[in-house]
Amino acid sequence: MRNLEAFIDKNRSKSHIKSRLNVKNSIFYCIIDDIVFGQEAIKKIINYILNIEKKFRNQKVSICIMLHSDNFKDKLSILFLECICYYLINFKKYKVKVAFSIRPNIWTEGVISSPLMILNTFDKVNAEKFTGKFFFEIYQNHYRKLVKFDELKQNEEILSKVMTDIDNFLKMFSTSNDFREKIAEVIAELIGNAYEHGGTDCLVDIDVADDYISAEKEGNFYGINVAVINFSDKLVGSGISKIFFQETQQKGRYKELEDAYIFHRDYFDERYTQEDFFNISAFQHKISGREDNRVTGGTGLTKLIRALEEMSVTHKCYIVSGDRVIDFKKEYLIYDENNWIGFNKEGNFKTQLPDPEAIDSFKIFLPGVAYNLNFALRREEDKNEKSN
Amino acid sequence: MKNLIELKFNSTVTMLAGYDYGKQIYESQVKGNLDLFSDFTIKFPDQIKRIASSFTQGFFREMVEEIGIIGIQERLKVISSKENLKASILRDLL
Repeated sequence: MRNLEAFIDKNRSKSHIKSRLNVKNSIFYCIIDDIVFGQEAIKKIINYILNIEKKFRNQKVSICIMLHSDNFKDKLSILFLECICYYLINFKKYKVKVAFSIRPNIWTEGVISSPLMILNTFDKVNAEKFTGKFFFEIYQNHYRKLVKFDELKQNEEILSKVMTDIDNFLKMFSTSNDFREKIAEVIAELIGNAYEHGGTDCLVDIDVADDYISAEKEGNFYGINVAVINFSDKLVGSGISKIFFQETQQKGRYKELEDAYIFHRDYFDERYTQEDFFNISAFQHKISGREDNRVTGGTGLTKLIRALEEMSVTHKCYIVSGDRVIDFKKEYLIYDENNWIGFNKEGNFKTQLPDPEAIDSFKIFLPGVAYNLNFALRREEDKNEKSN
Repeated sequence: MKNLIELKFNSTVTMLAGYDYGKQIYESQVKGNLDLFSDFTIKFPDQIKRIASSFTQGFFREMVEEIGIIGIQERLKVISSKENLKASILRDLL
């Protein structure tokens, strides 16, 4: 996968803290005792790897990652761990084992079909199977594909095929046509963005977690959990920021963006940064990080995500880029009459800051862009029964 | 003479996405074969049931440059199994 090694490299200076290397019988044990496996746990694993790399440069070692928690925070956390294991196996040529138990829920049931499940021994065959499954799998309730930049460049029809495949995959479940088509479009646009903006590969993983009940709501539910990751040196707002500061005479909507910047910059601090401003600018209508000024799915994307959230009973959707996060809560995905989005309840971009809940920091640095899109839906049959 | 283009796609593809792919289809199947200065028709095969914004933007890019969104709105007729496709195309171009 293109630029995956940058995921580890970019965290070298950010989080390199000496930690004790636990070695027994020539195996390094990376023990993670976090209650929930999320960004903090990922940071600890990266830090552990960096310590091994520093002390045992160029040596091929065996590492066992032991998770005490049986609870993953969300789908993206699972994919980050898979990416780290892929790096260790294929770039560092380490032997890798991951030891963990699972307590899946509607958001994280995908771990059952994760390639991580294969890494239960140091066996070389298992490492090869892991690599194969990392690239591609369509099996039962799991769809996964690494869409390669080079393949898309050679044959641009592939994106339409992937969109069609995702729609066909979801037809096996009780998803409505409308939801299915919209989620397929969102994913296709994210892959397209990775290709056009990032010039990089894009990893897509979808699982359908069927037959759940809720303590609070009646009926049967299922989850559609999607994670999309690309690694590149292009962050979501970096193209816009570059163009914005290069241009001395802003025109049209870019002049309005400049007015907003002048208002926002007085409030930049460690919780709301200039980078956040340009990240949310990436979702503004007719504002583009490309020099040809083309809009790539900006408003279309957030409007589709909001529509999907409105069809859901509950949802957990966010984007990570660099070490910043934007939370896609539907109450913040409001455009004003001129198609500006503020990421606040008022839909006011120009003279109001985004809601503090909509912006967050991320403990590790992701060179590129990742989306976590989790939706819990009521089963169609239940909806029909209710309406009859 | 009918000012009409019937687009052709791989029969297994039911959805269209990608800016560059849209541009490529325009260049290979439409460019030079339609008079954009009188009423024209584009027919999408029945199998196509959804078109992502990126494809629309790539496909219509040159047309927007030549006759503008207003020109497209006034002269384009879309034949498709998908209802309201023209409205959704125009929304994606605005």
